[in-house]
Amino acid sequence: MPSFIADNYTIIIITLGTMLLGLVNGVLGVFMTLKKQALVGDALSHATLPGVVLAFIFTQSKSMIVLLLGAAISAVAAMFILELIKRQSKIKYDAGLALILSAFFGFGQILLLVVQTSGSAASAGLNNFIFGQAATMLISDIEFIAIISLVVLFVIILLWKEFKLFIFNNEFYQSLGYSNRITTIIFNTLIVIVVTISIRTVGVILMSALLIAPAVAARQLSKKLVYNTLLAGLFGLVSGASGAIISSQVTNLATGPVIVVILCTIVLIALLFAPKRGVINKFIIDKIHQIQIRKYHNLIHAYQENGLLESSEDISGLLEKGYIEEKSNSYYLTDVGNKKVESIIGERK
Amino acid sequence: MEAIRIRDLTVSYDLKPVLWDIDLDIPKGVLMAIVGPNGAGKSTLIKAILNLVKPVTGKVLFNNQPYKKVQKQISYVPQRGSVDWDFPTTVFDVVLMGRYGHIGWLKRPTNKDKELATEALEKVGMLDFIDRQIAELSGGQQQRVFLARSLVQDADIYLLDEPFQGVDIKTEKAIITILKELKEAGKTVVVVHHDLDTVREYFDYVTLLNLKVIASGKVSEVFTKDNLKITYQANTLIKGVD
Repeated sequence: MPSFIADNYTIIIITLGTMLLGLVNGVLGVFMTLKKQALVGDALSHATLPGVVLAFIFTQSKSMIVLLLGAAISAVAAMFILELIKRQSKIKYDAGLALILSAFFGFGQILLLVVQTSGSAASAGLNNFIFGQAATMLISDIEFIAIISLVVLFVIILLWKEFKLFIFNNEFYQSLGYSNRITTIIFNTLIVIVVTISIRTVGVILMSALLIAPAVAARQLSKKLVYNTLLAGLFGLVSGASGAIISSQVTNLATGPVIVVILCTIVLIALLFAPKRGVINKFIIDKIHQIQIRKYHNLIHAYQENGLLESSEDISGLLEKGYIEEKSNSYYLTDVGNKKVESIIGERK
Repeated sequence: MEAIRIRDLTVSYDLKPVLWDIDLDIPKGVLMAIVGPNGAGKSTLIKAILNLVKPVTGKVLFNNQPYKKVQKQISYVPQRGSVDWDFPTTVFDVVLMGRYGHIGWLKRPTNKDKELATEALEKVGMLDFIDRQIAELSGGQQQRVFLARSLVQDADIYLLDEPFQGVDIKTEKAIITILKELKEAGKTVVVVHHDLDTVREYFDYVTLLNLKVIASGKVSEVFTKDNLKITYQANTLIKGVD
């Protein structure tokens, strides 16, 4: 065993780091989707690209902290423009997001091309930011990402009740004396931080899936915010770990796509098979209900007519089950029959 | 003394006035309806009082003090439709949110807060629903939960935005009974209201609003045909008003 750990030390550390990254993405994503900001992560992650390349151009350094600092500045700039669009222009919010995403990403691609054609050998690693590559990261980079992830998780736990009310009922939140401005700044800062620390591992193109997909799957399975968050964190963690391990074993396989495929599988399973909200279960419950209505429409009709059954159809089955009884040549609903109807139409008299 | 004093309040969006030079005194201990046609600025008035909407001019004082100083003594019940009822949370949780103002940043609700939330749910007749998902509630039940959340704030002034919107008659009666109890306890209650037929039965004070304050005072004095005609710019037939 010890030799296994020694042989695989790097990949184990990288996997642990990616797990933590998945966890923090899943947790923050729950709040973002509830705030109907699912696409903000996508716009911001794409918007980090020019920052990464510019940081490289100006410093000629491939130090991850330098490049991520560039990414963060770029993301903050995108966030500011987004807020400006929201407040000052008539452009719809989703159109604003799409504009920012493509403008920043396009600019980043051009910068990347310029750097790469200039022949600088050092620029080779920049491509890792597009689709992400966990396996080629340095242990020190992973440590940095892990510490930041823990800090973000701590802030979310600390501000749990504030974030909950801020998102659920913003005006009420403000009426209690909480500052909307401060909360928005903290929340947006967390988004920028999480996006920034994730791009090297997951890649700018697909990273928003790591924010959003765990939350979507978790929402299918649980009805309380705390379970939503724990489940989403778990899904993020599992997909992060598998993404890192699988992509490290296959040459030229980027981490981002692997994580996304795993996440989409989780979402698909949750959408289809979730006990209450699942598509299949909903379909079955609905069908059974329709069959019941068709089968017992005589009874339902009688229920509305004070129990008198007006039907010449075959009623022996209903008599046998005790749903109706004969009184002076007419058939009436029994108590059992009443209960049956109420269970179908979901009503109490 | 007035619980709320509003002077020269003007709110305007996109070059359109929404509230125009409002002067309004709301006396302490009254149960007041704010009525007026759609778009008269009723909700905006409540939001401007609460500083949720920034007025262009004007000031609002509560017991002669500015909003920031008395914020904890004011309870706001927003329109039911202003929140996403599919939010993953329970009835109890939502009521507990009413305590957040007293609890403050970073701290957690105490057992005392939880007791208060449970009591408030009992008061609005929703104790059986305490662990229910809010998505599973009817309109009337949602409104009762909002009222319970407001009650746990233990405020002096209550501002409710259309609490009777889309609720069943039983809930409406239950809510007005509680509001009348608040008034009896010396609290000031202001309600944005739609149904002119029930103004006389439910309220003792009324403000007629249509961009400006048309009239404000005791129902018996200002809820008249003439004033309603000016407010609604039409002949309105109201039960018990000639």
